[in-house]
Amino acid sequence: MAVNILIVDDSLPMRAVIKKTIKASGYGAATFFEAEDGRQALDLLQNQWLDIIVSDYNMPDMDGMTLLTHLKADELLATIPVLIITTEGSRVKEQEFMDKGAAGYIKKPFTPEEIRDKLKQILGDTDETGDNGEGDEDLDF
Amino acid sequence: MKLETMEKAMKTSIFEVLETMFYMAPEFADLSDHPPESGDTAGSMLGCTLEFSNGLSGRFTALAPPDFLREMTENFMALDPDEITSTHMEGIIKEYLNMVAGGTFRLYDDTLVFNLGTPAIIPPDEAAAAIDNAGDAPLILARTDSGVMWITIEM
Repeated sequence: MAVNILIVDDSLPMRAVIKKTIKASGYGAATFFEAEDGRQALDLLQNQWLDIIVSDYNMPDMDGMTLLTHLKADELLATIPVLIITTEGSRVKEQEFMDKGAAGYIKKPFTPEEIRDKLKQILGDTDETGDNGEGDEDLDF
Repeated sequence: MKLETMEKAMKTSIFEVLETMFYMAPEFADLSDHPPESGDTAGSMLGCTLEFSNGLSGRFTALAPPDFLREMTENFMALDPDEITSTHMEGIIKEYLNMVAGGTFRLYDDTLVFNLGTPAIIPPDEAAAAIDNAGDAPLILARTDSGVMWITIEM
């Protein structure tokens, strides 16, 4: 199953690393889209269906919390899972994201295995993952 | 605020970020051995600052030599050395400081919510002045074979 993945982060290096990590997690055949903030993400969603959104929290124009709120307010867009990857380490903030409907929450710095495991949990095992049922191997880049 | 607790949190956060995201294992050094003004490459160093507010307010400041940032960029983005530009290195120090700040507050007290600003590049002189004026504030020197990075927090 081919998946459309949107990475939302104002940092170009971080978008590149998240994309590389997702590809190494077995989603190499996925189609990737990128946005620098929540506003660009919403603009993209007007013409493009996505299977998952991987979003930062702190971004200059529209942050990840506001993006999530907009998505959950739309009947159709609300079905797209949102994985938050952020430097924000407060348990209060994490709970706030989960209460608003985030599908997952990963704190930076992250390991590739954390992203792989969370994607599998959210998207389920697909043909793309090449999952052999072990699930605990280190990822090579 | 407990300065010792904050300093310990900063050290742990710096080590976690460098090890997990940049595949570097730093040692921690003393300022007396590595004052930021020393060396003929001071002018080419990169400075970065990140403000925070809510509960505690202030800013983190980092200063790093180009070789240190080149190694970070190479490891983080899997780029060849000749592909690395100053834009890459600016993005890296911003993201690095962002992660260190988030980790520091999480380790200091993960029940508190801090508002982190957007990291900004500043002139190296300004960053060096912040380090010189750190006083009793936590000041961490992370050293690898590529050089030393200074990070301080003003509150």
